[in-house]
Amino acid sequence: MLRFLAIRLARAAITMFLVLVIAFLTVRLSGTPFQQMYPEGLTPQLQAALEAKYGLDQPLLTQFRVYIGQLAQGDFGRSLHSGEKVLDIYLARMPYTLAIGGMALVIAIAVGLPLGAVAALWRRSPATRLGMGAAFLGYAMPHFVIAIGLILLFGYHWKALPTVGLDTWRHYVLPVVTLSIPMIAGLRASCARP
Amino acid sequence: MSARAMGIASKEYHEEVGFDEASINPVGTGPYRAVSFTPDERIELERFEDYWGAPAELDRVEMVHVPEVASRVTGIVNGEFDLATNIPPDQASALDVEGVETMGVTWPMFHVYVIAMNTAPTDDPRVRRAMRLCTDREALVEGLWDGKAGVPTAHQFPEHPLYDASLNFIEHDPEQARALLEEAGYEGEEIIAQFPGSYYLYGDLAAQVVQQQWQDCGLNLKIEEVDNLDYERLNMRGWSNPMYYPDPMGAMDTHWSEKSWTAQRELWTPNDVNPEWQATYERARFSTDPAERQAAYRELLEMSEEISGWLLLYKPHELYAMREGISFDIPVAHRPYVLPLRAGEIEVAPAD
Repeated sequence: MLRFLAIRLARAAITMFLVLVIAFLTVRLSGTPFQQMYPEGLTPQLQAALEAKYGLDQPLLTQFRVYIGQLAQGDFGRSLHSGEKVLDIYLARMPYTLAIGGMALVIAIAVGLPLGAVAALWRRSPATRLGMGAAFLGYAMPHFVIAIGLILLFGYHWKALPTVGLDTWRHYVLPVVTLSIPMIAGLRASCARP
Repeated sequence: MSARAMGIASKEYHEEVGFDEASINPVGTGPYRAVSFTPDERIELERFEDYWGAPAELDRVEMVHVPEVASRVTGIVNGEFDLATNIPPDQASALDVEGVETMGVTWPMFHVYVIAMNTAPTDDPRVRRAMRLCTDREALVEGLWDGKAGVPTAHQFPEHPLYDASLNFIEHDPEQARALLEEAGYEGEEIIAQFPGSYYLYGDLAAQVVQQQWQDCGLNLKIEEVDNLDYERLNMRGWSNPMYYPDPMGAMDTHWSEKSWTAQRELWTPNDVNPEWQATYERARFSTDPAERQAAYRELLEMSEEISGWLLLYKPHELYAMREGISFDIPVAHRPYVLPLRAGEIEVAPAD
């Protein structure tokens, strides 16, 4: 068991390291970030100053050493786009992502599994066939289409639910339902399959 | 003072925490204090009690970045926002509901095409002038903006004191355009326009309309949607020219001086066409006699017809939407998108 765990951990570490190397190289191979930041162009002096500021004038190996060293200390740097600390960007948004995703998953299991079971039991009934059609539709429709549809109905027309922000439980209803619909459809389909 | 480059910041604070941190947690000199700021998401302001001038009108302001027009419209109809900005005129009917008011504004700002003077076939001033002559702004404004955007008369705005109401250089004359193209020996070579996504409101639609209009004159416009503009290749790109301060130079100097990126990239080389340009330009911006400045500016505008390095499309028209009980005027002679939130500038009745 210990041996198994050790092998798994070693593999995970190697994978992580490879992902880091690939991420590091991909970003550097795809041009400098300053092309995106200053689409109107930079003078060579400014470009050189910026490269020096962010250490991009150093050899790749040195850059990689600094990168790994900072990662090890929990320093993910700052976003060149917004100036925020990258770790803060993730930490601030993570709880909401997990909450919405988690709730959607729970609802999908609670609704999708029974629906699938019922569909498997009464395979030939017209209601099941209708349900199959609905499930296909729910599964095939991208999130953003479902989301805009729900916003239009519940926000614009019926003024029943808020559509921006996550301040109260009512704010969670639309995003959680949006995420869960394709999951429900998927679960139902897999359960009902012979 | 609404120009970003003129904001006053604390040197001591910047040196203490660094530029990045000072940008995220700014310390300024205005009537509001930034409580929190998440770039691209929201900023929360509250009244700064020790402000040297009249105390701010509102206790607290929360600005949320909502990129989708439909979401902004829904948010205001649904009572989630008090005020929404940057709404195109075709959404007016969606906002025609009880408890919501709208106000239209035509900004002192042009949507503009930058024409590359250094790349064939637009390196010929006759071709560039034909592009101008073949563009029907009235049709664009009528078709895209419901007749509400402004058709320009020249690179000038009535909001500045040296405005010359007698000028009108904008002509729509396809016949003259065709004659110029023939004289230049233009034979349908591709004119490449590059646009990075849908950055300007209706920018993509306008380009398609212009493409159709130009076909009548024999101009062959090719529209490319790109991530990064390729200046070696493009003949034309979209841009906007807002008035940053109430002066003819408030819109001209930022965009078309010899220090602007258009000149640095050699897309804009006016002196090659008319060697008088730079001297006239200096008089227009640095003379201390207003009459001389006005005359020089007029000369610049006349020369700019011959040079044709830019093409003015229109002054965009947008809507503010707000809940009933909020009233304010658009500040005159400010740069576009500045919100009037200072003392006496906005009235807000309490929400129900």
